[in-house]
Amino acid sequence: MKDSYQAIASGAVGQIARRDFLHACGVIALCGSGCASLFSNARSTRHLVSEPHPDDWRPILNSLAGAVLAFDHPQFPSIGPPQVQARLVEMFHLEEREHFASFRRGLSLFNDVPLFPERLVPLMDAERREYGASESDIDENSAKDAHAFIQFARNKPGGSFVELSLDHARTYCRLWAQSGFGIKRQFVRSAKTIIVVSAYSLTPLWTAIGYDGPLLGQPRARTNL
Amino acid sequence: MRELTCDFLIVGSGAAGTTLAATLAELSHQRIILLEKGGHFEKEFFNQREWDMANALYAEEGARSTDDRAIPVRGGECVGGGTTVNIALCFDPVKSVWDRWQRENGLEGFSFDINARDYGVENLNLATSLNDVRTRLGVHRAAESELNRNNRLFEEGCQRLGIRAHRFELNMRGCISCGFCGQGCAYDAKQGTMVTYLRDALARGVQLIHHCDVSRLELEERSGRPRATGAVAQIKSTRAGSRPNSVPPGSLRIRAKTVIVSAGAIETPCLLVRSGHPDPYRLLGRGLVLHPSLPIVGIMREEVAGHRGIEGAVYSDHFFETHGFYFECLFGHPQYGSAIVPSIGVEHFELMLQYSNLAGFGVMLVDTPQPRNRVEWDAVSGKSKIHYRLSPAEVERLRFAAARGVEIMFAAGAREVFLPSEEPIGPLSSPRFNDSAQARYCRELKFLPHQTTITSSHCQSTTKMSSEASLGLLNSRGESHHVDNLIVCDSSAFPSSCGANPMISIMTMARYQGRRIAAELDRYAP
Repeated sequence: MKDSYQAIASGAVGQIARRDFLHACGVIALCGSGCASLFSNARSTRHLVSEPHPDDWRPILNSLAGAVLAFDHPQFPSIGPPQVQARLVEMFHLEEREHFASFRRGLSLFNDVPLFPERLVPLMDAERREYGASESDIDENSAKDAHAFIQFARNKPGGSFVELSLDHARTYCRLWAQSGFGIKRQFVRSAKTIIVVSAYSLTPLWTAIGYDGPLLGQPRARTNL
Repeated sequence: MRELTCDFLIVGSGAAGTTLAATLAELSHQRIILLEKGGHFEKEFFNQREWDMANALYAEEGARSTDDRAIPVRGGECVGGGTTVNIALCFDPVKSVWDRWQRENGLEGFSFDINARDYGVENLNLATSLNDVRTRLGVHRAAESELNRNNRLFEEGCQRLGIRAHRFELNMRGCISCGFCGQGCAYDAKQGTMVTYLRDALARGVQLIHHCDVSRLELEERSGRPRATGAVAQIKSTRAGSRPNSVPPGSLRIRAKTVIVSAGAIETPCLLVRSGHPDPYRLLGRGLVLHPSLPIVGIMREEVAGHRGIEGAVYSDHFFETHGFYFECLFGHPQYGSAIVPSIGVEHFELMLQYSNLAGFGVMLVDTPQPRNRVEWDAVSGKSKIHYRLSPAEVERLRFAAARGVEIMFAAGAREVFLPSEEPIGPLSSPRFNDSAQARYCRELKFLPHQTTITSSHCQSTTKMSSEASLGLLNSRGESHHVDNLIVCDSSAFPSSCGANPMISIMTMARYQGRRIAAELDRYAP
C-alpha cells in the first residue's frame, strides 16, 4: 500500500499487493484520530486499490487537461480536451502501460476533493519514506494544507474535481502544487508535464505560439536577428 | 547461446567507449568489440521532432529522472551516446581539478605537460590526447556570425554588469544553425563520436553490436581474485530507422581477455552491481554528481527566436572560482519547454504565447559528491534508481546564482524574468520578476522537489579513480581495484565533477587510456 501511493505519484509500477492492502486496512483500523479520518482513509483505500474504469478516469483527465491548458483563452487554437487526451494516451500508452496503472488510480484520489486536507496513511508513509519527512514536518504540512483548503472550500460547489468550475479547478491544482507534501506536488507536476508535453506536440499550438517546427524541408532558418 | 571472442570488449559507445575503441584499433592489432544498448541512428533518421527523437535517442525514452521524478536526468542511449544528443559544448580538461585529484585521490599520470611520458610511454599525456581529440572533432571557438540573438543578449547583459563572458568552443563543422542539436544532427555537422571516432573504429575492424542489453559481466575466480572474462547480453530486435546490426537478435556471450566498461555514470555502476562486482567499501554508485541546472527565462521586447541558431555559443565562468557555477546559454523547443514554464491555465499559455520573445540561459552548478546521492540497481523493475538531493550549501549557491542570473537577464533588456518555479518568495506569489531589484528575493528559494525545476545532463563520479581502494573503485589506470582485467573508462571514473561540461574531458581521458592500454598490452595478457 505504501508503495502504491508513491507509485501513483511517480508513475512507477502500481500493482498493489494483497498484503499491502491488508496492512493498510489494519493501520486504518488502528487509527485513533476519529471517525472522519477513518472514513477518509477507507475512501482513499478504495481509490488506491480499485482499478478505475476508463469511463471514470478519462473524465478526470479531461478536466485536469482543461485546468492545465487554456482552452478558455481567445488565442488558444481550436483543439479540445478530448484531442489532447487522445494524443496523451497515444504518446504515453496510458491505457496499456502497467506503470500508469498507479497514475490512473491517483486520478481517482485527486478527484475526491474533500480528501485533500486529510492525513491519509499511504501519503504520510510515502512522504516519510520518499522525502524524509519527520513527524513535525507532517504536522506542519498537514496544518498548512488544511488551512489552504478552508480558504478554497468556502465558495466551492461539489465534492469532486470534475464538478468544479474552471477557476476552482485551477485553484485546486495550485493547492496540490503548493502543498508542503512532496508526494502531492509530484502527482500534479507529473500530470501537468504529460499534459503539456502532449499538447505542445500538436501543430495548432505551434502555430499559436509562433513556432515553425522542424527545419528539414524548409528554407534555411534566420538566425541573425 | 551464440559466442563471440575478442581481445577487448568495450561496453558503451558514447564519448568514452567509441574514442577508446578507435584509439585501441589505431595503435594495436587487437580484436575489439564495441557494444551499445541503444540503436545506431544516422542523419537520415533525425527528423527534428522532440518526441520522436527523445524516444529513440535518450535513456528511458527521455523520461529518466531521479527516483522522486523531481530532476530529469537526460542522457543519450544510442550509438554516440551523449555526443549524439548534446549541444556540442567543448571545455578542455580543467587543470586545477586534475591537480586536486592528484593531491586528494592520489591519481598518477594524466600529465598536462605535452612532453611528459606517463608510465614511460611516448606521447602519453593529457595534452597530447587533448590535441588529438580537439583536432578530430574540429573544436573551434564560436565566431561572431554563429551567435544567435539569444546568445548576443546574454553576452550584452553580462557586459553591462561587468560579468566576464566568453564564446564557447564547439565541435562542429559546417553547422547550418538549425537549433536541433538535442535531436541529433541531421546534417553530420555536429562532430560527435558517431561521425568521427566510430567511423575510424569501424574502418579499422572494430565490430559494433548495438541494441545490446548487457545482462552481466562474467567474472571468474583465478588465483583467489575475480577476473573479468566477458559478458552475457541480449540482442534486441533492430528498431525501425536504425542501421542494421552485426549480429541477429537473441542471447549472446562474448568472451574477452579484458573488459572495458564505458556505459556512463548511471549504467556503469548498475552493470557492475548486477555482475557481482565486489564493493567492500560501499562506494559503487555513490557520490553521484549531476551538475544541477536552473533555467532562467526572460521576456524581451523584441523577437529573439532562441530556438533557431546554435543553442549554446556564450557562457560565463565569472563566478566559477568563488561560487562554483557557470551561466550557459541554452534554449528549448516548445514541447519540453512547456514543461518548465511555470503555472497552469491562462497564465501558462500567455507565457507560451511569448515564445518567440523569450530569452534563456541557465545556471550550471558544479556539485560535490555526497554519499547519499547515488545510483542503485533495482532488480525488480530492471532499471537504475537515482537518488539525489541538493545539499544546503548547494541550495545557497543556487540562490546566489539565481539572483545574479535574474540581474543579467534584466541587464540584457528583459521586461520580465521568471524561473521555472511555483515557490512563493518575498511578496511574490512565484519567482516572476518585474525589475532587477526583486532579484534579492531569490535568497528565499527553497528548491523543494517538484516546486522549482532543476535539470541535469552531466552525470559523473559513481565509481571514482583513487590510489586508495577505500576511496575509489578504480586505480589511476581505470582498472578495478578488485577485479582483474576490468577497466572503467567514462565519467563515472572521475573522482568528482570534472569542473565543466564533461565531453572533452571524457574523450581526452579515453584517448589517453587507449594510448596507455595499447602500450601496456602485456598487463592484459591472459
